Amino acid sequence: MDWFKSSKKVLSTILVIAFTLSLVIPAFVSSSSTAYAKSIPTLTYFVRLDPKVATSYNSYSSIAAYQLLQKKLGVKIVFKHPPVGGETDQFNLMIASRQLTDIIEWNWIDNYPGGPVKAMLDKIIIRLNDYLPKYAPNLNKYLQQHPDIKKLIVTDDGDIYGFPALRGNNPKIACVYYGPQIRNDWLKKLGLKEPETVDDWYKVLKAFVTKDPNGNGKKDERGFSILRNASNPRYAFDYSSFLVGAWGIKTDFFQVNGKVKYGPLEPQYKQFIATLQKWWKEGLIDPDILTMNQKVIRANVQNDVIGAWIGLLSGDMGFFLNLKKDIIATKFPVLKKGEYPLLGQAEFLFSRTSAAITTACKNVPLAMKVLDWGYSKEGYEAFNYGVLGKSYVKKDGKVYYTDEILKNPQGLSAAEALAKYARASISGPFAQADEYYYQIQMMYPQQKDAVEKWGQVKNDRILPPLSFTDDESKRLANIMNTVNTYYDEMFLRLMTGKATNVDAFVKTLKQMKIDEAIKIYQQAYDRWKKRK
Amino acid sequence: MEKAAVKSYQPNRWQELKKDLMRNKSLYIMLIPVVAYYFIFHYIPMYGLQIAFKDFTPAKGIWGSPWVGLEKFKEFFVYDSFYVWRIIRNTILINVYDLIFGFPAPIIFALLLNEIKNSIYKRTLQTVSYMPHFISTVVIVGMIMDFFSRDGLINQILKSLGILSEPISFMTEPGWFRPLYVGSGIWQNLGWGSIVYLAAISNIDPQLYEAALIDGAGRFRQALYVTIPGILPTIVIMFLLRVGHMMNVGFEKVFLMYNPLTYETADVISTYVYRKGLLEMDYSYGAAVGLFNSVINFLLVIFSNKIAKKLTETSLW
Repeated sequence: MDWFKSSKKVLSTILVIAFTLSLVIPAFVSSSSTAYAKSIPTLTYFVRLDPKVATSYNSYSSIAAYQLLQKKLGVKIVFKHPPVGGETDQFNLMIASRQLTDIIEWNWIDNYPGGPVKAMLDKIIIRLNDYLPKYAPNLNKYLQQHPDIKKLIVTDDGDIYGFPALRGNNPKIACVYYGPQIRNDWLKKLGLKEPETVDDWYKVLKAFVTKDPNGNGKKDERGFSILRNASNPRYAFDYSSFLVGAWGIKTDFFQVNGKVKYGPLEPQYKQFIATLQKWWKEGLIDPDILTMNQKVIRANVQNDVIGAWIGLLSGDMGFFLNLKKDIIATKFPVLKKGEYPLLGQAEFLFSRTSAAITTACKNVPLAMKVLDWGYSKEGYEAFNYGVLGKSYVKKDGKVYYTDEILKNPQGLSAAEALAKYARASISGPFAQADEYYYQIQMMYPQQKDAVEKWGQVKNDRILPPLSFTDDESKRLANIMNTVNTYYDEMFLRLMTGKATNVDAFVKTLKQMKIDEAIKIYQQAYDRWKKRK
Repeated sequence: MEKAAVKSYQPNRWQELKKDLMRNKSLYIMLIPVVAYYFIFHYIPMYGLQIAFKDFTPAKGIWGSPWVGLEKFKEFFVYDSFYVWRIIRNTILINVYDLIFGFPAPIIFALLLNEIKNSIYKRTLQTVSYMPHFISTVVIVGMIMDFFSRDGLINQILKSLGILSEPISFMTEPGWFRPLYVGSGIWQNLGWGSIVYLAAISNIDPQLYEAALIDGAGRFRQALYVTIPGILPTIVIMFLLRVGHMMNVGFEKVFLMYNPLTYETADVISTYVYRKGLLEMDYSYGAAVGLFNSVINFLLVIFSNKIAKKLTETSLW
């Protein structure tokens, strides 16, 4: 009995100790493991988790290209992915709390108030110019060979702040990926021609909603919808200039002959709004774009309810072509037949996202080396093609993606399958390869045709990525934050006819000091023109 | 009187405290975590409030950023006057509606439940009514969006009953935002909110009911003259607590439910602070508006407490 008692006591003491230790020990264990890992230098890397990767992995460190990078350079990269949908919140919290990772991949131009210049002034990220020749020879060489791209990625003072995500080398195919798509079978059934002018579009959409092209006997057709950026119809038009571009203006800032303008202030804007109102009033526009439910819209396209939309080349068009939907792309609409569209979707080869090194980084040369790898030959191949023999093969010196990518046995789309091996389908600090565009973005002939058609725009009125001074960006943020909230709201009200007075809208914009914002843009644009 | 007399016999306060500490040692130890919690999580962060009066940039930190006085408040009331009155109006209106419709609902529900004599039925009803309280806001809003979408349940019911010919887009009509917000709030909190009232009801002395019965009061009169006065102090306290949150609308639900088309009626102070402070990184501005909001809340509590004291003799302090 005594033995039992004492052993019980001992046992319970041991248990208590074990329990207490178990609370404390993990701290030791992890510290000892980092001590062990100290022989391998570690970098932390903040980057959004792309949904195409998320279908297979929960961290970029599982991507084959990054595993190769870590092995080759003898470095460990710890990726910090913000929760999907909460990227901006998480980024801003990180900045405010100054718990910075070593590397941050972000759109510093649009998504950091004040842009990259301010980010450097705020001591968030560092200027790379001095490090570049020594630690990033590959990027340095690339920029020397491509002065036009260098002009896009530097600030007005010539500062380089990040490793740019580049859309390959060929603007004809790489910068066009978003535009109008239409049901070809509906057109054929109703004996219509592919719409070219704004009037054509009206007639086609009208026929779509009145003549029952899906043949179910119900009047459930919706003419026009928005797939990407359905969460903010105004942004969808900002982004692609669909329709509004026919009048030679954009919905936001643009320039004509070196003079910066703002869409709503232009006389043509009224005609654009009037057209939208007409479309809306006659039920040609999908009402679901107001409830901002992209899933519902996508399902409706799948269920043959929607006739035309603006959407992505691969994510949307490719998706529906996979489902054997008979869709084609159309050119961006114009006012008169035979005109060459002035504005459409246009992007620069530099996608505005850069991987920057933060002030928290203790080993800048190493971070430079890691980021520079993407511009080396080896890094280029790994990021674009993945693993030789697995995700791609070489024949006669040419690169071909394997069937595992193009006809994935697990039913992944080509872009999703590639995301397991490479970063080409996500973009990042490297240049995307032409093979990626030809073999994956344009897997179907309709997609090749789409790039051809969407590429037929002048787009010389688009503003390049500008950079603002500290004072300018403060003032601009003050004005534009107020303006944008108001504009978002008014755009929908104008489109749906709940508000009809464009003049009153413009008057309020002027009260909100939009003219001052235009002036700031003008100054920044003038500086950009002087950039070397 | 007697108390005061006793007090004068006590030695000094410190010894008194010491004695008390010794006597109630365990009680004080139990108090420590609570005090620590409030200190760490509610008092220490207050020092961050100063950024409302500073031009805060992350680079300089809280201490290093320059003071700008009331500049940020001026920005809010003068430069952004376009939005200020709208968000204040929306915040107050949503709360007033919630107070008018949402506050009495659990009380009425508790009174009705109290009249049910079949205990199995009563418990089932209670349990079922609690359920929505445990569903997360995200799911609740998802359900609202599904039910009230253009081809959702509600529109289909209304259509099949012949009440509507064209579906209503509930989620994009500014006029529907407040009814949906307040209505779903009632559904969510009806059962849970009634618990405290049911507890209060069960504390009422049964003799009072017997007396009322002898006086010839029916069930309705019993409820009116015994139950309601019996739970009145609870109602007043709950009301005061509610008023303390007058200027706070649950951020999450509004944020999930609104969109640019309904900003007109849906944009409230907390969502505005979020957009300005966090999304647009104007931290000082956000803090200033948040502080303004808290001050108003604080004043409202004091004010309504005073009124409650005068009218009903029940109050928080």
